Amino acid sequence: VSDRFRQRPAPSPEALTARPDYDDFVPADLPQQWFYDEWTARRAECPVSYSPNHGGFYLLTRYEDVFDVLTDTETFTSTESAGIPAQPYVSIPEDVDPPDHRKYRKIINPPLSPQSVVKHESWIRQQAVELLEPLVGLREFDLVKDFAGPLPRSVAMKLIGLPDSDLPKVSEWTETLTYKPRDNEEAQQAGADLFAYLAEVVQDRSKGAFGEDLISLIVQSEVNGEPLAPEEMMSFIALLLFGGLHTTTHAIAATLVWLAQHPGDRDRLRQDPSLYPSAIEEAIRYTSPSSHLGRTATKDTVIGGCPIPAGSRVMASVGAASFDPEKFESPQELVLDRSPNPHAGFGLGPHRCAGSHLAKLVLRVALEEFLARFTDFEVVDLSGLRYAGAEVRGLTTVPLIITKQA
Amino acid sequence: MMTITVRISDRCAGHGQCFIHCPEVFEPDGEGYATLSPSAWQGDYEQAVRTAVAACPERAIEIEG
Repeated sequence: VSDRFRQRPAPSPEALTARPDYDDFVPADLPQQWFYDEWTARRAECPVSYSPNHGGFYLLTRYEDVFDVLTDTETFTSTESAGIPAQPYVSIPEDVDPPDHRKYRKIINPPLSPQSVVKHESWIRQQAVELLEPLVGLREFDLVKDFAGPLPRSVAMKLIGLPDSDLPKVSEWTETLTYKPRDNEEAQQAGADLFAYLAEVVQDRSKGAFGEDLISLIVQSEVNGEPLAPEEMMSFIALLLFGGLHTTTHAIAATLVWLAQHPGDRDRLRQDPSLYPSAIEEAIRYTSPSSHLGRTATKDTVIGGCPIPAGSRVMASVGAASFDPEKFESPQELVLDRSPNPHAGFGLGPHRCAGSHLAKLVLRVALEEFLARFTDFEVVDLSGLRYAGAEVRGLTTVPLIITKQA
Repeated sequence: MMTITVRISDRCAGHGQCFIHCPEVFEPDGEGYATLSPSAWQGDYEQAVRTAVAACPERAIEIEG
């Protein structure tokens, strides 16, 4: 962390009002400590704050407030878009409220349940090994570009049901939409290209030749007795891509950055694999790749003592919630055996991340196979690490030096 | 032996932390939401169940006793 951010004085009320309007899109390219400090300051002095950006929204930074909003779907609807700024289309099923929301989730929940995803462990492990073996013997490589990025992407493409040969373009479009502001011309073009591609995918797959992949399930499914409209199918698949291609990357990368700095934790994980279940939950909390969820108040209400008029947009920062010291002791520490750990890393409420069990499996396999090959490793420029993105945020490059092979 | 009553509310969103803390009592249904294991519970799982209650992000597990 650069000195510039370390030396910032504790905020006074005057400083807080002088704070730039909060927006997960701006500031971009900051160290994660900037967000910790920002959340801490707001939680202490103004836990429910207002930002005029993107049409205006209330930002929630306390765990209890985030919990209350995300678990009360009658008062806080997703139907005005779960994104801030709003997506230019209805995102299926994140922009759908219960009870209809569950009808869409029924399509993809069974293949993503804990007992279903474990069946994929051996080939996922094989993918991890194939990515890591060429790195053995190198003194330096890029943790994200060479390992943490490619592994979850190829796993997600296979389960979603898209050929690996399409990965470069799909990855480029979704990266642009994840890391660039949405009103950016480049992002608009990427969105148009992605949906043109998905229109073809839906048309082709609807002809038959169904597999066990998620797209095959989606094109064959019915909600309320009707097949999904092609636009719904495209939107559904787009959400699987946004959720599947980049989030787990950030969890793997930021966890290994922590482990690079904490040799004792590396040793504990190697010597005591029974730590993995708690360590994986904690890694999700500590890395929080998904930073916020948007909701809209359906009536005049109150959050944390702050009056919220009907129609207000609300940004529930699940990132800030999982770092609330009222709920998590030493939140800025990754504690391998933290328990209990009711983190908000996969969201809270009925919209809980559908791929959470797959993400945890991929993260575990990635850590096990990485630690089996590399005993000691260091981040080349720890203070130079920068987070990119908004709703999905994380490290896009981490040059790593291997100081001791296993 | 002490008896506690365990109930899973419809707040369950399928995080699955209860399966990890106490797989003898909690198991996933076909969609991954929590159900109570149908087998007779033999043994003392009270502490593990209480940990599952505290770990559930949705506060969906209710116990009495």
